[in-house]
Amino acid sequence: MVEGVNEGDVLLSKSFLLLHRLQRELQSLDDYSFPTDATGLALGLLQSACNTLREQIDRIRPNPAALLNRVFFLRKLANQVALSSTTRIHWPVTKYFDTIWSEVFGVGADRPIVFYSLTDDHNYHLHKFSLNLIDELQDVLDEARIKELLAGQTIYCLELASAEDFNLPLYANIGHELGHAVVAASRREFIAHLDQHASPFLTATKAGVESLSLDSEAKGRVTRSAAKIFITIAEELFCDRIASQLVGPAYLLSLYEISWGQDLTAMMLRLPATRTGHAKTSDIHAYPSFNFRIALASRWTQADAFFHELAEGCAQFGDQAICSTLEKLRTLQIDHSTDHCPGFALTLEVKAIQDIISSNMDVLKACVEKAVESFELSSTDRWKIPHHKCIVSDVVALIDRLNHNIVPNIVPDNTLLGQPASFHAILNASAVYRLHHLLGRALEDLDVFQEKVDILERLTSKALEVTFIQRIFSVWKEGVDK
Amino acid sequence: MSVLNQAEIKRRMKRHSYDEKLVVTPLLSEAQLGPGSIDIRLGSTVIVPKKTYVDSQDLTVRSESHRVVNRLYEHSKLQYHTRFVLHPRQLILGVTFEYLAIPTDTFCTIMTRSSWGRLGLVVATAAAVLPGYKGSPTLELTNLGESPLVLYPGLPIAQLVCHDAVSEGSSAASYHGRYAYSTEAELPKFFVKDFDDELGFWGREKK
Repeated sequence: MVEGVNEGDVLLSKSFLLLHRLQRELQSLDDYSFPTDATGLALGLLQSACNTLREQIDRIRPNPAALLNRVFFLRKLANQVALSSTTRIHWPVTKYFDTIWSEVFGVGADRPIVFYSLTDDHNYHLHKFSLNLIDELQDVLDEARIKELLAGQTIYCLELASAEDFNLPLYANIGHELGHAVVAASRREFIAHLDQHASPFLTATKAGVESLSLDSEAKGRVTRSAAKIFITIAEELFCDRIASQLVGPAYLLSLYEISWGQDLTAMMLRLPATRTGHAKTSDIHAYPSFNFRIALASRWTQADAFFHELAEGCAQFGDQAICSTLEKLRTLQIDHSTDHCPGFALTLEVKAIQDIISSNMDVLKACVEKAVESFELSSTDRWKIPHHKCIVSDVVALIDRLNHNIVPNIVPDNTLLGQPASFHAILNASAVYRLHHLLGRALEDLDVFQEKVDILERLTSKALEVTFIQRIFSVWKEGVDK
Repeated sequence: MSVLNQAEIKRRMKRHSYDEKLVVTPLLSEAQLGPGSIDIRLGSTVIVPKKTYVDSQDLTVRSESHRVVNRLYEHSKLQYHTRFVLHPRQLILGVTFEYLAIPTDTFCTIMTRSSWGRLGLVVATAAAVLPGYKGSPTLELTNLGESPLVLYPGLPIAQLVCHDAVSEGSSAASYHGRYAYSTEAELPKFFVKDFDDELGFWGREKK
């Protein structure tokens, strides 16, 4: 810093300027374009945090460098709120999932809520927006003010893959993220279920660890790390299970599509190490292989029977091409016996964890599967997670409409109005039809292919919007007619 | 070309094959079917022309027709149950809530519903919906009255009048134009068909 200038004062001034700019930007966000009401609550919390921080800067005199970094972090959160717009996010889908969210968690000031935003990652993420905000303010605001800001509310931010915000069947992944919120709300029960089914894996792990030439503390860390991997894999699979239950085969197809370009047999382990080479157990994360996930989702959604019945139904309107796609989709029950743990281990200890997991892969999968199914049974009951049965004949009727470039919003029933299709049926018909285009692309010109996918995306979007409104209108009309 | 009455409209809507069926979907109520027309609603996307620093739109120049669009128009997604205002003499492009599929033996026109027309609302100046068309037609909403009009997505502001397009036993050729399968308000599309090259001929400035 320049001689004679107080660095702390300069940082404080700059933080103040940036905070002021951020406040102005937040004020200009238009709630007209928020996909759901929760975005407004996230914005309100962020504005309160900024206001409080600004009011208290002079009184508390926080560490200037910490303050400047917190302002940059607040800007990141502000970007998440700014990206929560119907310009890019399809509001009928998010509103539909919001209804499920409310059914599961209830409604009230102390209940968790979610708002939707976008991420540049080609993935979906859920994080606790309110908790992240509060964590960051710990060292620049006093605890009482922080508690006052939060008022007991948990606000989640669910980020959708921005590269494919128009690919509506991919929104089925929201069901998976809802699963993470269920686990967070019942972590103790979740761990208890895992405990009941983890014994064979833990026994095998223990035997493996004993044979390692490491000291006892290191052996303890390896054992704890293996347990942590078990927990995180179980959580991912539980979320797949919930999404399968909520959305049906559309989730399987979205999982299949999102797996493209990835190493399908890789069980990805994130194994950070400390400077001394020890495993950082608390930061460990693991993801099951896509092949294992697809195999399980295929079974959980009864995909074989679904695609078979769908093919029989579609054969009635004589489209052999779609029947052929459906037969291909029946083979999605992938063999996952060649799964492995790739990656370069930084330290001996981390390498030991990787080896233990690799050599006990089969027992890990078997235990996790049982634990997930057991927890799903109890959580479905406790959280009243809806189980949507996919009515094959409805999906057939919607595919028939898509085949004629007609919006898939109505299941014909010989009346003039027909039956409004369910969200579930529209999403499944669209997911199947999308895969039909993608898998059959080799046969046609790229421009023709692109036009077909564009039309499908437009028709799906329109169908979800008009049926959403039709449902609300019908409820209102019934009330008026009574 | 006779106007179809309610019974004939229903008959065409109940045809089994999608290749022959008249589709207007969703109908929120059977009451939308009048004696000689079907009431249709305002959808949720609009395109609002802006007054900007661009001097004019010369659509005979291919590069300009694509480049100026973002300067001249603003696309908006409207929320249901939320109002928007159409000011006197303002033109806004809207879209129908319904998706239409017109069979080749039918020709339709879109007209303002009379009550709205008396307030000065005009919903379509290019009102023809050709045989074989599929999509949600773009509406050209104008307020010819003296005071601002409040509109909401979902309001039944227009009507679809259907005509028989069969002449001496043969149906019309099917529409496969540039506006097929649209579901949102759309800007004019120039230079997407070969005959649009003609625009360049007519617009060519003499040196």
